[in-house]
Amino acid sequence: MKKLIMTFLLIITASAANAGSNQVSEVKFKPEQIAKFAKDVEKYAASKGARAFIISRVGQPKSKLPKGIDFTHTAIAVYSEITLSDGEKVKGYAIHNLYQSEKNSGKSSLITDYPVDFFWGAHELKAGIIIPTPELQQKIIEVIASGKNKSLHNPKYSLVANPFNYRYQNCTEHTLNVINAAIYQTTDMKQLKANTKAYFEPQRVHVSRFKLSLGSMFADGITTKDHSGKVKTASFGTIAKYLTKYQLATPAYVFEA
Amino acid sequence: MKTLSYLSCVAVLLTTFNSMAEPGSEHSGKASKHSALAVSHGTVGSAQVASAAVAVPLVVVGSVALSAGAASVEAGEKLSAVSSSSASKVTHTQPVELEVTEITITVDRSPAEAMKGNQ
Repeated sequence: MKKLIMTFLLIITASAANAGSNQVSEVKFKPEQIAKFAKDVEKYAASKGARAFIISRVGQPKSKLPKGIDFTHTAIAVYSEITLSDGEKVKGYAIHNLYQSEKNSGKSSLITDYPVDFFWGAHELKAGIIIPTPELQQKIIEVIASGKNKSLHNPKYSLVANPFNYRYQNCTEHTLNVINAAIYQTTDMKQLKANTKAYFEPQRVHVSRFKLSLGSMFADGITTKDHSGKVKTASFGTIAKYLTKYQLATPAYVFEA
Repeated sequence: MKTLSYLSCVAVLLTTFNSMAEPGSEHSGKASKHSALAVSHGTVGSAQVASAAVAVPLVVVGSVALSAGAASVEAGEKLSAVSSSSASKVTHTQPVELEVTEITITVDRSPAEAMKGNQ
């Protein structure tokens, strides 16, 4: 009986350590498959003239995702002049992400990577793409190029962060903050959150609050402290609905290999 | 037995969070990723793999003014056919296809990993 209890304790500890955005440890596709898919996504966006777009990926099997959530990580891709390590300059997309810290899953940082990095550990070669209107693209680029996106970052991470306040933040909420900062031309977080509350409809997280609260006892990076009532968070799908509702983007497109 | 039931429940609950979680930063895998890409590209022809040092957003001429160094200005397509700011409608021209390099770009390796690669 003692051995059984110890085994369970080990399982719980291991699960708690992994309950959050972790370093990619398993690559499911061949490098050339990932590279081709990543380049195809770039070319698709480029064919649409997208200078900035919202991009998402699938990090887990669909069967394991809560109802209503189709993608597990969302970021903003920006058409850029990229200087390579040998000094050559080329054109392509750089992706601006909020990632959980490897060493502390309760913290996050803003990291720029590139399409092949973005899709390296994906569970499916599938991308969610939202292309904002050209005017909104330009404003999003300005927010990022000026560094204002950094002031919209809250490093206190929660997987199910409430987008209506700024106590915790996840990748999708940060993406939404950048979009709204572009729309409203402000980085005043109180104003942005008031506008978010007025116009944005988040995704209900179909996991009971009890389970989430219990999980927060064992794992950093998950909390319900920023929620009252039902737990709701920003998602790729809700950002797509938000932008299309206000005619600020074409309907979301799912690009598959 | 009650303790066992309790621990079973917690273990099951925590695996739920694992499946919602999202692999995030990939810094410690950079060197092996770069190598894997280089090897794979070597077998499929002339496609290249390169590490990126910096990326600067490209904006069109006449768009929002940005501070020097914050973005690169690219002569290219215009956002719309409207020249007057008093116009009430904006005509969206056909989007112009953008140029994308064929090179597979990945984040640069950490200095430690780069040193290992140079030995």
